[in-house]
Amino acid sequence: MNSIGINELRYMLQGLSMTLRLWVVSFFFGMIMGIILGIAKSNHKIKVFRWIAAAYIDMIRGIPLIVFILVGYFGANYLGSDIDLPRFGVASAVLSLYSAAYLGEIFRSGIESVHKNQWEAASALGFSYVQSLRYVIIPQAIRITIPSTIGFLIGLLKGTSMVIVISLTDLTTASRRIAEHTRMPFLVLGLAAMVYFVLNYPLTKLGEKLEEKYKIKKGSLT
Amino acid sequence: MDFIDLRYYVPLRHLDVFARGLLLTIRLVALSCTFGLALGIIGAFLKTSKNRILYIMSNAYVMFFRNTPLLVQIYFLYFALPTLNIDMSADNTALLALSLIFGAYATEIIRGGIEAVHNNFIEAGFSLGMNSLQVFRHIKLPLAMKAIAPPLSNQIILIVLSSAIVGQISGRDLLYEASLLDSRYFRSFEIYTVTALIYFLFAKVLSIIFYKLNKKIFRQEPPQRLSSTL
Amino acid sequence: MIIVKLKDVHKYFGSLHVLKGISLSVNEKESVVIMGPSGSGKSTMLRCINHLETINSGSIEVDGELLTSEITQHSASIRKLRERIGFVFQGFNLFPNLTALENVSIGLKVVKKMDKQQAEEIAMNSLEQVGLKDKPSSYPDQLSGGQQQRVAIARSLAMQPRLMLLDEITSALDPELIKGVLETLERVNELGITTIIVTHEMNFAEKSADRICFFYNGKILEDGNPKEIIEHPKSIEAKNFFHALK
Repeated sequence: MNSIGINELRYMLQGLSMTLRLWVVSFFFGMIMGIILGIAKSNHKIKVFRWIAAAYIDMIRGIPLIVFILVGYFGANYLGSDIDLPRFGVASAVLSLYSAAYLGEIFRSGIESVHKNQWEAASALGFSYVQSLRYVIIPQAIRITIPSTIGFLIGLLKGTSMVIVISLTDLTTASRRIAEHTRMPFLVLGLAAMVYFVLNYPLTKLGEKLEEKYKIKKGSLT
Repeated sequence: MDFIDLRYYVPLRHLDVFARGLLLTIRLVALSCTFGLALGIIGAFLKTSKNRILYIMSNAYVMFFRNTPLLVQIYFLYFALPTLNIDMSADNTALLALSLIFGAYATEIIRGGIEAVHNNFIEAGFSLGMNSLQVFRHIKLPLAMKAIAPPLSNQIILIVLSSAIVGQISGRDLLYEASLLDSRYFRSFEIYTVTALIYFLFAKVLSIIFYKLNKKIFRQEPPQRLSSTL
Repeated sequence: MIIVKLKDVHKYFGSLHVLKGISLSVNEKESVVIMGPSGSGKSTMLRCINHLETINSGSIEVDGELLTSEITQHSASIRKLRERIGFVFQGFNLFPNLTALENVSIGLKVVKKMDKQQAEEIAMNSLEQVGLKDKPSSYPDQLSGGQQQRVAIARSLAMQPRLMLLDEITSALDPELIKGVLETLERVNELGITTIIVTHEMNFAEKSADRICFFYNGKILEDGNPKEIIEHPKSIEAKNFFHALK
């Protein structure tokens, strides 16, 4: 039985770094694409936007993340068959696309939750569709979607562990290898679990708090 | 761009493999959701009890499983249980892990439904002389069903998608069978896109079935599925 | 000069015939009150004037613009027109994420493209006109219903409209708050802005309006001097209506 030394810890830290990087990058790009998708899917006028956004979201949400990563990775390799694609890049891209679908649905729901009267008030002032969205609807929609978005953020952190299938070493993979190597699963995997927990738990609490706050505030929205 | 050489006949010729995998997944999901439901009912009961210790225990259970990745949980069980001299097959370990996580989510869903049951009915039960357990079983739970069914059905679908992970400890399911096929023929893209399609169709069919069931039994429209599979 | 002209306007909601041949002319600086039982089409007509609803047949001419059923909700010509028309809703429809000052100035900043300082100056002015100059940083949920409605009026006023349309603006308010809003309305009339007001407030109509139009079942049955119409209505329906209100 090997013991856990500085090398093992360093390996786990590298894994953690990978996890965090994937988490942040995917959320960032996923958010941008998600907002666009949400606006597209809630658009009353141009049916094509709505249809494409809805089809994309529906498709992604019906597939396990792990399978999507495999499809994305092998698909990317197919298209760029002579280049050795950077695995972090592919993983981030796939996770971003995955996030976009979920965040898009969350955001669409937020936009459609904003009372129709707000659209009318903006129209009555002379706002265009884009102006109404930008100054009146989206600010309110973002506020509404914060609890769900936090919920997704938690899920995304957990989802980064799936990159094992394309041989990226994240915290989970690193911990597993060390656990096998040192034959101390309780300690090592327990430690990994603790790290994820420490990252997620505050978010969970924050989400619960905000959801309560939003429920109370909703009554006063005109 | 190089000549794209997609050989879909590879997966299409082995649809029996996919069928077998799908059945394994269905079995896995059905069993784990059943056990998980039992866990959820117990967990909800504990979490709504006045007893502080019971509350903390069930809360810890829920918090742990909801805030850590499923993969870590499944590895933990797979590697740690043998050291306690508990020998489980990979399939059973997978079943245990999925049951536990479904139980955690189910606890929250059921608890939410129960707490929404109007106080008046509960008081009526106590006034009849029922104790906590009886009130829970005969009043709270039945009345909560209507609120519980839709999110619970959504959660089952999420478990279907989450179950794809069991292949990592060699638990047998659809993705595992697909990966075996992949290791034989190396037509990864084709095989995995077919796999994705099968998951998609299965999840779709399941959601339609649940929608119709919920509508018929409870006259309830399912809420929007905003949470992810992770 | 005629600022609003409706000619034989018909409007359907599905198979429901809501406006059955409305013809109405409103002159500049006039203050017109529209009264009538619920569901008679008053609000619908008002919403057609600023094209929140589209008419099925007939014509509406507002400040030189012709409104037809082909024009879409967000077209440029409609938007330009709406800069000159103020619309105040029954439910106030203030933007909950903005303060009173921000609510009033947002139209100026976004639509009239003014810079922040200029917009806020005008906005403060409008708030003063409605008697709320001490509440610029308050959010809508910190204000009473009457105050919120006055902010809504200020929001329209700040755009310096030629015409203001007010749709039952006191119907959602508690009785003691109505007085403040009506006083504000009188001030708006004094400013020389043409107003078309849908309301049930008879005293206000008698005192401040130049004209009353009585709506019944999608048609205008009476149109003229307030005192005349209230005291001596010609039609039975009007008689019953005003009698019930007294």
